Amino acid sequence: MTLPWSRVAIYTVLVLFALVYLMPIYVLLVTGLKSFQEVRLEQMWDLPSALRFDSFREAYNSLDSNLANSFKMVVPATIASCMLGSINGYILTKWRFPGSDLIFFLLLFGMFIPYQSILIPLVKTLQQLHVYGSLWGLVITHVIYGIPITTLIFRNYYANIPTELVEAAKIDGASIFKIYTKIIFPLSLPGFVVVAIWQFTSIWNDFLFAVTVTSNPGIQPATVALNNMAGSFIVEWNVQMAGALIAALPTLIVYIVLGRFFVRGLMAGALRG
Amino acid sequence: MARVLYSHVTKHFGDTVAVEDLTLEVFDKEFLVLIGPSGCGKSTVIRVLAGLEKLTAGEVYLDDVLVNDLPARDRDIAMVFQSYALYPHMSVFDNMAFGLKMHGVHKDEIKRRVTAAAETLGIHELLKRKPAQLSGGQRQRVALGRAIVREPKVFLFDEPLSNLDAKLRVQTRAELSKLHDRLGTTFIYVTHDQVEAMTMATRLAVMKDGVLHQVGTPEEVYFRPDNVFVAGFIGSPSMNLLPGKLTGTPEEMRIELKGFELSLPAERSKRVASFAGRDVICGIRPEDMHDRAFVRAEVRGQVIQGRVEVTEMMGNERFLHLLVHEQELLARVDARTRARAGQDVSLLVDVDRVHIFDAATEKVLDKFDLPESPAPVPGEPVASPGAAS
Amino acid sequence: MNSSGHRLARRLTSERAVAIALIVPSAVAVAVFVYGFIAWSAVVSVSEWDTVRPDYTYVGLDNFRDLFNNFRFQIDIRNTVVFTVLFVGACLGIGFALASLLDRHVRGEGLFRSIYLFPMAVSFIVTGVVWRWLLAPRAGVNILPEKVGAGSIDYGWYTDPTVLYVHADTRLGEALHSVGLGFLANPNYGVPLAITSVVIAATWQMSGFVMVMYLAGLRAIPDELRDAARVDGASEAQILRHISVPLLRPVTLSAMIILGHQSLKIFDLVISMTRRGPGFATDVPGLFMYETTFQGNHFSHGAAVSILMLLAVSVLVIPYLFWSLRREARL
Ligand SMILES: Nc1ncnc2c1ncn2[C@@H]1O[C@H](COP(=O)(O)OP(=O)(O)OP(=O)(O)O)[C@@H](O)[C@H]1O
Ligand SMILES: [Mg+2]
Repeated sequence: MTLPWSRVAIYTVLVLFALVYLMPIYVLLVTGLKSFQEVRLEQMWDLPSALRFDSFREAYNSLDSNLANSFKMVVPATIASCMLGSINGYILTKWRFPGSDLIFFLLLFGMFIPYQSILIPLVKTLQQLHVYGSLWGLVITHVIYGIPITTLIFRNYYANIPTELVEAAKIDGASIFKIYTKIIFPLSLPGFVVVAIWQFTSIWNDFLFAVTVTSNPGIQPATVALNNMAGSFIVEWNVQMAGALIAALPTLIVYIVLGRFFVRGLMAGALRG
Repeated sequence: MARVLYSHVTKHFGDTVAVEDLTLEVFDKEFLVLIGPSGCGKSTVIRVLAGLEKLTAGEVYLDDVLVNDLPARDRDIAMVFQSYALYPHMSVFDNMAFGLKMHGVHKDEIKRRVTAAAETLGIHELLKRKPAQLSGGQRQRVALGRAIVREPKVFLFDEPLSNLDAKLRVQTRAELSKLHDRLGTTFIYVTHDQVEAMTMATRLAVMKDGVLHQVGTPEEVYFRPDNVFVAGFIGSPSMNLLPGKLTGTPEEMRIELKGFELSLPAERSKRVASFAGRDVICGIRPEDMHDRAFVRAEVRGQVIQGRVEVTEMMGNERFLHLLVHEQELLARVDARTRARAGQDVSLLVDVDRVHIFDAATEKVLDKFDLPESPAPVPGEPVASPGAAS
Repeated sequence: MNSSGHRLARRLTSERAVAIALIVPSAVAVAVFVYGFIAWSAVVSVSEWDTVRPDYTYVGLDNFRDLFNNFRFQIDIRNTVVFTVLFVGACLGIGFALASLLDRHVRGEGLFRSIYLFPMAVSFIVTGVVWRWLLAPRAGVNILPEKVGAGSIDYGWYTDPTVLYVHADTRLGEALHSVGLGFLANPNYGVPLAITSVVIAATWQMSGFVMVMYLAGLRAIPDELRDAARVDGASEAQILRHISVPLLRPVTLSAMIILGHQSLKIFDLVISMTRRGPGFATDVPGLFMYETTFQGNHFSHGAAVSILMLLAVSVLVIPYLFWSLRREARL
């Protein structure tokens, strides 16, 4: 019933938008692949005459330790987040108790707060605990403020596992731990993937905590280093662009490989619209 | 006046054949019921008419106007969906008014028509509610009301009763028939429920795998099935179908079945004599086998022996599950029969009513001499693929 | 009840205690780090702590009063309102348009979806760095038309200090004055053009998310409803207006809340892309709070900003949380 010209119009609009969305990636790539002689702002859109990795090399050289910091922070924080979220989701769906809904509501609100409103006490507390300015301080921060979202995703995930399964196991005499290890956990893999991707991406991409909790450049994660690089007038714009691409690469790879789970995390974060 | 003509209509979905070379005329003011097993293409046939699906090949005419490329909204057709498809965010009134609004009907007129239809259907006190606040039966009525207010040329129904409980279904069936009489509009009704089909239809169209197998009045389709599929599909419990061979002389033809044979009366023998030697499928409706103690005198029959496996008391009659020479047969006999499970019985088979189909083509060999039902409207002869003429 | 029943019952109560014990660490962590810290920030916001040294002397709402009299903060409020309206509007519009196009049985739907969504996987810092160069006055988008032979654009983007507002001496300004709204004829109630650059970058990043939400919403509308509307005589545009859009209202609400609360908190993108901008044209409360607190050491004022941000988010989010939890309970 749709006329051909309207199909053409649909595809034209979709392709135009796709080009706009990809435009920054194109610029990042061609800039990163040019030699220093070729990188002039006027030639931003031109393809490189020869493939040179000068910009990437320089950007990588100044970001490598920060990338390592990011990984050192993201991996333990993601693992801890997953475990906590899984336990919380399990309790809040399969072992509900009076007040568990209230706890859930209070957890959820924690997901939306502007972190500015806890930053001053957070910095003071981390200083007291002698983890201020260290990666461990960041890990603790991310795990704690990740509790709401990871709990929410696991709760929604476990809500789809029939409660009868748990009740049958209870009648069979399985303990709360046995039920978790023998029934819930083995069914949780997709939930873990969703939460892991979510936490990996948001911790990697975080800037606010990173910049307030770590002031020593040697400890800072990649986002802070990239921002410093971009804010300095010494670093060439092409190196900044290359750095941006490098800093974005881990999460982009995760997105390309596991995009399906990424979308699921998004939808869970959207509170099942 | 609303006449519908499907001419060599074919609809494919990718590799799936939904409808294949369908030619069918639906007469003005008729209640045509499309029946067939699930997935046979019934819904597709009416969706094509509604303008919801584009044809792969063929033509559809509405009142002699080719409507292949006419958008749904210009066809003046109303449809009741199986799930009712009520707009969840609109009140009952707005649901019924929506189609009229879309057609630019004046507000006062909308109000008049919706109120009138709601009165007829007994839902006037529900007009302010949302669909979620209605029972299944009430939703069904709203869906019906939404179609009625449109005063369309043709009503399409896609299994509209299948979500109702049994009692409500019986009641609504009768109401639909009355509605049809009152509105005097063409109804095309899809179902896979035989009782619905038999009770409401002026004509039945039987489909299978996208192919139309027979069109006719309920009597024609029931008593004179054109082929093995229609014979087995229409009627509940369904017809006994036994493989056999047609033999004998023009004076006395016989159907040789496994372990026994049936002799045909003289006049019938003459008619099928030319088919002597053919492999056939013999169809016997359960009610055409009788307990000899309670049979009417005029029944010409032949006695067969069998063992009763199970009996089912239905009240006015009794179902006997028989084993006749290792073949399972079902007989539907007078409830007073003394036959019981485990016993041997002899039953009278009404040989005038035995159906004989060609085993190779599965088409019927000869038709019964039933009083010819008058065709609803004399029209061009309608060729239906699969029908032996 | 027999003795094994008693044992089962006792076990279930003790298991329930274990269940509560398992959630206690998370509950305590959130209680302290979220609610405790919010209370702590609130205390700081009404204290005198305006240097490196903590000073919890109570000063009432003085800090808040200071803020509302602060020129920069006034502009921040204007900027936040403008940014929120433009950003939420653009994301909803583009997201819905893309979703309704993709919903029409498009070939390569998966690819298109992935392209529109990938910016979500990137940090705001990266987005900021990239768009800073794409919207740089003598580069990027401005010189793109040259590549196809057209002239270059001469537009300042985020360096443009223009603020669109109703001037008092215009007809409209006088009309406002005559109805007692003369104060609106002021740059503080205008639209700073520079902020549209930040809106573009943020929309590039977030509109794909809205698209995914709308697409899921559209897919959840039964085909039969649209068929019914078609038979009822609705055109495709009318179906969109009378069926799809009303049924997508919950999705729209969710998207508005999520985008809205993000725009109230926005910080990373601004710091990496434009900072304060010309005449604070792209300044936002998040940036103001950060600079005040961690660069200026005016802790009490920073805390006051953060508490105001929290209040704004709460007004938006708390009713929404109640609404969605109730809806969920009903399902
Ligand atoms: N939109 C579609 N896309 C692909 N195949 C379809 C589509 N609609 C119908 N079909 C296929 O066409 C065939 C006929 O479908 P149709 O819905 O007409 O059957 P039906 O007789 O109404 O069945 P039911 O009694 O189950 O409703 C089926 O095999 C079905 O799978
Ligand atoms: Mg159907």
